[in-house]
Amino acid sequence: MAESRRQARVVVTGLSILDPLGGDTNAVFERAVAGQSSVRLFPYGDEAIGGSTPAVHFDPIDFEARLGKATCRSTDPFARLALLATEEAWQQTRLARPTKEPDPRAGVHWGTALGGINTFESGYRAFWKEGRKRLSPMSVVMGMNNAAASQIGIRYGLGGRSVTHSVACASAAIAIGEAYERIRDREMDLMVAGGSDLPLGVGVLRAWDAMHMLAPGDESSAHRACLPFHPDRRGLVLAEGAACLVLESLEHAQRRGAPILAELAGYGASNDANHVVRPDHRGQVRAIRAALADAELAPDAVGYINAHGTATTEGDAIEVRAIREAFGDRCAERLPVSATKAVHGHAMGATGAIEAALTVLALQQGKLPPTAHLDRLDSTCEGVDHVRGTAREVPDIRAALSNSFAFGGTNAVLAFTHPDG
Amino acid sequence: MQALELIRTGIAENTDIDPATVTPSSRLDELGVDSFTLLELIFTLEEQMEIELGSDVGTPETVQDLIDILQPHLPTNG
Repeated sequence: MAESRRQARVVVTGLSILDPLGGDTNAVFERAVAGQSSVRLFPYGDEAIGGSTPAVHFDPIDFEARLGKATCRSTDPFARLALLATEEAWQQTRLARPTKEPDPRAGVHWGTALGGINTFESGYRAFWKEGRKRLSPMSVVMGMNNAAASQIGIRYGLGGRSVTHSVACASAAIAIGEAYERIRDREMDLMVAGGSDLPLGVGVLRAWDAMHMLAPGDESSAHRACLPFHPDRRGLVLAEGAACLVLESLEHAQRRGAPILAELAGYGASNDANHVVRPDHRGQVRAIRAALADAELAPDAVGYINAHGTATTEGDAIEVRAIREAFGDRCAERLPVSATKAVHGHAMGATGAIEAALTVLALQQGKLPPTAHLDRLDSTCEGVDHVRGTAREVPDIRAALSNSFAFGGTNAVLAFTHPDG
Repeated sequence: MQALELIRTGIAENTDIDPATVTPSSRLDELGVDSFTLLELIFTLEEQMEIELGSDVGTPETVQDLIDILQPHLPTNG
């Protein structure tokens, strides 16, 4: 095969995580490393249908000051968060803001599980609660689930691919993986990839609650409600969030002297094809092995896994079983694993991007965030090297994985390697 | 001039255009009000005036065209 047709190497040149506690992405990483939780008690609804639950939620953001009125009037908050996340990641790449024609070799793949659901929820409330008869003509463009990708494409002149992935909890990981493939296969030179979601509408909260999957908590205990791998784990904590990676081919990044944060060396995806909510370790093993093979990584070369770890009774144990099987028991017991959802919660279609960004930072800085609140380990989750208590310094780390396993059975694993090889 | 004030308020609410630059002779496209933004602007004005203009609005090109559309729906003196 001619040199120009060979697969391209893909690198990360910018990243961002938006978190309600504020600060830039490094501040978010430092909090994750310190095990500092963004979870607070979230009061929702009204006197008729309402309550409170531990969640990760933003205080009102002055979007108009950041994005302009015109953009805000035509976007749902999930697209606004996407724009803010992209802005921070883009700045880090030192790419110019495009002013000319859209670049046909640049694109965006975005993940969202719920997209513009809050726009529709507001519409239903306006009709049935407030007695209104009409909706804003902007409702369609606000509510459509590809609105975030569309807005990012417009603002950054991305004239190539624009695709939205809605794959429940794996949405952003799939978006990043598919964006990686577009560059690897030389269809694109640059891709913006990530995810955003605001899953705290009454309808969404109550739907999760009906499955008995939300971790309980009150004012004083909410911050430690999400307990991955812990014997007392009671379920997940829903989170608002957004995160973004900017991916480029290695040549493209080197040509412009861009800072390289990590290489996205492999992507493995699989489908359980078994049960709509009960994860199957065999499907997860297939995704992990596919990512390792794609990245040409031996199991013992991996120095960290950011686990999917949602803190459900079944899910955490099945994931540990999958890691043990994919890596072999002897390798797995020396493999550092943590679940950062304990601090940032489960941002649904954004969570894969949040965790991918944390994984890149862990690799780059040689510092592994712990699973917060893990003062006791559940016996069903034994067999890997849990990072607990405090962060772990790992100056020699060379490769790390980020696992994302979705309701519906979709699994996605991203393999990152240190930029220095 | 009541209609002009309503339009200026609507523009301030929906766009990043400085309402002080909006005069009756301003062309909407030159202000930066495209057909999509115009839809939202008209909706805002309808909500505020508690009227429904329906699809007879036509395609106003200037602020004066918009004033002419709104004028018949404004309360008259006396």
